[in-house]
Amino acid sequence: MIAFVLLWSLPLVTMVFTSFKPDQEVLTRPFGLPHTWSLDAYRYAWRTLGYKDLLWNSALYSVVGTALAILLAMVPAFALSRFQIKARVVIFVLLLTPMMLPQQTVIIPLFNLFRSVGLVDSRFGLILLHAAFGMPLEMLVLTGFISNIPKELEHAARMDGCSDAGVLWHIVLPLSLPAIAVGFTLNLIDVWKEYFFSLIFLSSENIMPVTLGIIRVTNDRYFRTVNLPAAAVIMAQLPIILLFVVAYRWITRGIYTGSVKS
Amino acid sequence: MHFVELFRKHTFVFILGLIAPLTVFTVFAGYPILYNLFLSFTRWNGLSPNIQPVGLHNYIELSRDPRFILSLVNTLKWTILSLLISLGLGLLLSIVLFLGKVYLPSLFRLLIFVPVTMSLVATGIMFSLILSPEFGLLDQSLRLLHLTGLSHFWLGDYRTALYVLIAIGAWGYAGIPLMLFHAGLSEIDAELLDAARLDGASDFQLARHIILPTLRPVFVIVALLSVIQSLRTFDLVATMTQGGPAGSTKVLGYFMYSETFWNNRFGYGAAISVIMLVLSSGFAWTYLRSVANNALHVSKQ
Repeated sequence: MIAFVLLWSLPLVTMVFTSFKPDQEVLTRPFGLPHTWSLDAYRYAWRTLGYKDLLWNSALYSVVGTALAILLAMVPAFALSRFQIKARVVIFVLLLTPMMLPQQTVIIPLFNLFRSVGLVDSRFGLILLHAAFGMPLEMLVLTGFISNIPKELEHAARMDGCSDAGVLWHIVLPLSLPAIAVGFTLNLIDVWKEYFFSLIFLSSENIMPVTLGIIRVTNDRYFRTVNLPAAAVIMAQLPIILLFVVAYRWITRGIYTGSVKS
Repeated sequence: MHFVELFRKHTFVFILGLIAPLTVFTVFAGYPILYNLFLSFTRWNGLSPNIQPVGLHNYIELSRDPRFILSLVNTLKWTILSLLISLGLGLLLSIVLFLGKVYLPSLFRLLIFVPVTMSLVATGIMFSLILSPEFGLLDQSLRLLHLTGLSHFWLGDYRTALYVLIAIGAWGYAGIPLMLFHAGLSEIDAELLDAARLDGASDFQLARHIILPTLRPVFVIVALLSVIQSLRTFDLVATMTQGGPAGSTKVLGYFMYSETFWNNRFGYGAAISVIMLVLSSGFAWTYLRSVANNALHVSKQ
């Protein structure tokens, strides 16, 4: 067990230490706490890689993309969990497929389609992609959750003359807030990590998310130093790791519920 | 409930709950899959309006292309090894945690799960630093332990590079199987375990007769997820090796990308991705049917 703890923590911990060490110290004293704490690597990475834009873009794509995905998924989740629609399992499975599809199988036609409507190298285009491919996960989380809401509440509301939209808005939506929070966090992390779509669809530096931005440190120019890539990786992941630590409990519960058991 | 009835009595639900998502599916998955299949029977440079039908030519060429065979073999190696690691590691760690042999178990799970939230690009850069031959931490620690004989350019050697990537992938992924197994274990009745212990059952017997049978459904889910993820591997290879050295880390997901977007062979790339789809569709369908049944509370036969 100690071996596992070391195996998982050492890479992370040394990277944090490395990022605070001045360049020469990394080579002379690779391990342990920095002798002199230095923020140079962070400053340099922030400037040369344009972190303000990168982080802003990633935040934009993950928050707006996820919000759209949830909006799209809400009514379908309600419909499939509440109405005994014909062939609903098949329909549900069909709607979930984008989640498990190798992105490579859709990339050429989508690239083509987006090019013909001018959505390549566009913020809006990438957000649309993230919304469409985030929708299945949100549907899964929401459907599982809504299936567990007692039907009695809904019946009472219908007695009072509530329409479908009314039931959804006044009963189901408020009760689903915990599931929405889980779905939001899960997909936010997914979009923040996403690389393939961004790589294919974006080419302008000013709209790149952080995954595309930091891969530039693998150039030899940067890799001659160690502290700079380390700082770059930390800055790229810090927001999401913080979010994750806060939301850890919901997330793990949410993944399990979404995949194994309700 | 029939669609006509749904449309008449619940128009709102019918349109936003059924037609809208099916439209999204058609635009972003249904149409692309079919068009991609069509493209796989053509030759196309991706730009010109001239899409030339060539029949099965791309597939015949694939079957003779040593780079494709290598990518396929590498992908299968990746899939099988990752599967074994994620099942083995997930089971081992979760059972040890479950039997209460670890201090601060929730902190331990948090630690193993942190890399899951990292992008593989970030993970890749981090391990490139650690494995770098000049200033890498691995080599430096080997030097410190006077084990310089083991020092090795892990990513530069075609015999080791693929396995290093698989190991890094497993490092980044282990949190998922651990978490799923852990959640599965939390459903085991603690009283049953205590009773078995009182009767003198060993840890091994507990694992064999109580824990493993409970975990069977989780086992299937973990295996399916791991296989599906492995078959579409791209990010780590793109970040760390770009398929090298000597093609030793070329996998289908990366081969498809480089043929399509670097060599502008869109028809050939489409054919590769069709193979990827065929390989993963059975696993994906089984996985999705299982999670869909769960979410809808349809009992499994």
